[in-house]
Amino acid sequence: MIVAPKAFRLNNFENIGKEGEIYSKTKISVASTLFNYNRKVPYYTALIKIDGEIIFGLIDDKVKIGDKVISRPGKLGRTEQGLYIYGGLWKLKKEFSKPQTKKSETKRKLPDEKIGISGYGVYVPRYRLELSNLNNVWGRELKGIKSFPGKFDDQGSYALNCGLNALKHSGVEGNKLKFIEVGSESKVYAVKPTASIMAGLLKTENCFASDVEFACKAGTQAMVNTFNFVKINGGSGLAIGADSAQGAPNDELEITAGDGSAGFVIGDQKPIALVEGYTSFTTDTTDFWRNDGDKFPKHAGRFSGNPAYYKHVESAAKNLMKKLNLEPKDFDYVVFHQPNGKYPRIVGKRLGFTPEQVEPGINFEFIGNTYSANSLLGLARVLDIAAPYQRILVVSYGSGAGSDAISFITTPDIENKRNRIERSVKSWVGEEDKDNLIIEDYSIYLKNKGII
Amino acid sequence: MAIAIIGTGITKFGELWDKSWEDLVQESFSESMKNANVEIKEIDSCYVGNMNLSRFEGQDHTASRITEILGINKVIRTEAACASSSIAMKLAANEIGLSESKGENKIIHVLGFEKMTDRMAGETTNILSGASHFDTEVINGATFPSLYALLATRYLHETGAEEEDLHAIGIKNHRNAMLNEKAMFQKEITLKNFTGNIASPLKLLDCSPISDGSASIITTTEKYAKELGVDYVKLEDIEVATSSISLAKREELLVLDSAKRASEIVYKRLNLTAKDIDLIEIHDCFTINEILCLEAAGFAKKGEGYKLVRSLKPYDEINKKESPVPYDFNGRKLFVNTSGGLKAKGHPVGATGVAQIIEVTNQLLGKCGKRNANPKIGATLNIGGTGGTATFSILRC
Repeated sequence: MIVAPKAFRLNNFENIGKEGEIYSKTKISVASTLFNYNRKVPYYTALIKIDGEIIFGLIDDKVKIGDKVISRPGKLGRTEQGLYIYGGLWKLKKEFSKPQTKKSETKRKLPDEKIGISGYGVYVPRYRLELSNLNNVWGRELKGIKSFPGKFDDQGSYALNCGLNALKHSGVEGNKLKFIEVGSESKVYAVKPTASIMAGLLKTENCFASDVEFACKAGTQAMVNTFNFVKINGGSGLAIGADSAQGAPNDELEITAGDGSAGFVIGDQKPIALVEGYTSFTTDTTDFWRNDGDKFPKHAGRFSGNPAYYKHVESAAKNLMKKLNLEPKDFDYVVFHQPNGKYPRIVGKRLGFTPEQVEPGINFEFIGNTYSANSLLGLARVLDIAAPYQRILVVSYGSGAGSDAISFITTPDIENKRNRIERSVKSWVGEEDKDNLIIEDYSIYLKNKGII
Repeated sequence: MAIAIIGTGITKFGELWDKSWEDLVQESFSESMKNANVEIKEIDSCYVGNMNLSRFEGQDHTASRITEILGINKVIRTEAACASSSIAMKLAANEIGLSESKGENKIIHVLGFEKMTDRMAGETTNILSGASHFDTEVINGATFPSLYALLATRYLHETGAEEEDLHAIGIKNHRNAMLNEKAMFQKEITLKNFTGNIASPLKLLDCSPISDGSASIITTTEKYAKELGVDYVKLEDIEVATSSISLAKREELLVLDSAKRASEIVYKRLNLTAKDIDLIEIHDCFTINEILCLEAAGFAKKGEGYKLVRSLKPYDEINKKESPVPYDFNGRKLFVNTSGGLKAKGHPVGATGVAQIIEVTNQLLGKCGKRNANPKIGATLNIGGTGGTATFSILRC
């Protein structure tokens, strides 16, 4: 079936954000070949009542007549031409736990330049794989859990959802954005930016939009690029880190590769945290790479620790502290890239940070390594609890290799805007609201990841 | 102005491995010509209803291809999804009526056919979904069963009907098909066979099958039928109505308003009501639709059609009843889908409209053998899509 000519109006976003009530529903067990729906069975569709009008919609949950639902971006399918569709996907409207401030007496001095994070938002799929599922298959002895995509998830839907959540928190209108950058190493299109899909959803046309790749540090790279753009040009921009992290079956990466995203609106609109300074440290270190056309990344094993992660993270962090004339004790929270549970804790110790500074930003145990979203999700987790006038250090790491270090100081608006956040990062990652998680086995993981 | 049906021909419906669509068209046409006592050169034109020869078999320009096969050199193709060939019947009736008013006696071949099984099932589901709204329904994963499942879910929610009432329709229609050698299924089923979810609450056996088949009618003016001295049945009236293609845009979700309008127009013109109908071939593409059609055509009030089905209780004894199995309609017998319906006879979508008229014609002529129900007045209700098109007709001897 030829649908390419209508591609420009295929991503039908008109219902996104609307709320409705289930009028009728059905669980489909036999699907057509169109848009790969036969790979998504069973799935639900429904007639949904919105303001007295009925519309047809695709549902991501088991629903019954009368249930309240809300439309979000979702990967609905892919046409024979390879075009993805991200139109409205309806989800059950639920109440989740909200972020709560951790009181603090410290009062760091705000930087002079009033540009920073106006709002943030995250998105993590509900699906979790218990790693013990791999034990029988691959002869391992694993424990732990990680996130993986639902039927209608991918890097595109992650980016769109966290972007919308960030905008809602910021109070900035999406169609006013001047700059959108999405950091990822699992882009849905090899050529065509996810950022342009985001721009299309937000109907912001007079906007610079592009994707950026630097393994797991592309998210902080997008953040620095956005900061610099709005610093010169004014207005607000959106920086996103989103990944459906890849790891080949029975590879070490399979144990850790998770799914998630975090987005940050950056500008001068009532910032909740101001950018105090940043540095970056880069070398040509081939510790982890993916060749053009390959489905999964390769890595050099033991190479990953000292010459790669530690060297770059420590150098970037030290350079920034030197530049800003700060010591570890001057920070209230510090977030490191978390490729596993061990590295961020060790690097924190090596740099002289305490567990009280490091632990609040660690998501790894709940979702695994979400690549470009990793350190940004850690930052979001800390922003959820941070009080005004606190200093936060974020240090990312991207293979290849490089680290960005950024220092933020929170403002009183972090408290003022907190009630706009509908769901805490702890809820998104599954530390809270555990009943919302869908625990599935390895076969569903492989199917939803597109491996089988 | 009634027109006369002087010949009918229908192929076996089913997965016909060894026959091409051309074979099927030729076969039904030849059979219809035997009864009609006319020669091919006397046939003025052919109206052919077909949903999607293009995507099923790769052939566009259907009419011209039919000319090549049948030797009729004025062929017009109509398309309205599953109602494609009843639309062809309507156009033929119009033309014959017009010719009669000018003192002519045109003879027209009305053909309906579809060859659906040459595609994989998932691809056929894809092609059929073209009869629903592409940009809102299909793009969001709708399949045809799922659209009818949405009607069924809401119907069960709003009325006292239960899933078993839907299944009972399938059991009855399978029972009827046992006596129809042209039907795809010759197998009795029971409630226990309703397993295998297609789109909840519809099970596999709540759905009509993907089938191949062709059906032909030869029709002319009543005056000329008498001159020919052949058995004929009068198509008293036939009307078409259309409605929105999207389920969501319907004024009332559970009312097939196109079917309601088409039937009301015909009843009014003939001064009849549903109570005058003894037998009807109705569009049971999914079991829920037999109920919705019965309501739309005036056999039951809105939300009460399932009560007619309840007259078949106990459902596990349907297969012990007389055959064909009638509903109890206010104390008298109402025969619905004596052919087995789309459910058990098969549903080659383009052929269905003409096939329905053929069943009623043969019933009125008493040519249905053991499944003869001896009706005086018969009717058909053919639906396109989820109710976007409807054709209602009334026939009598």
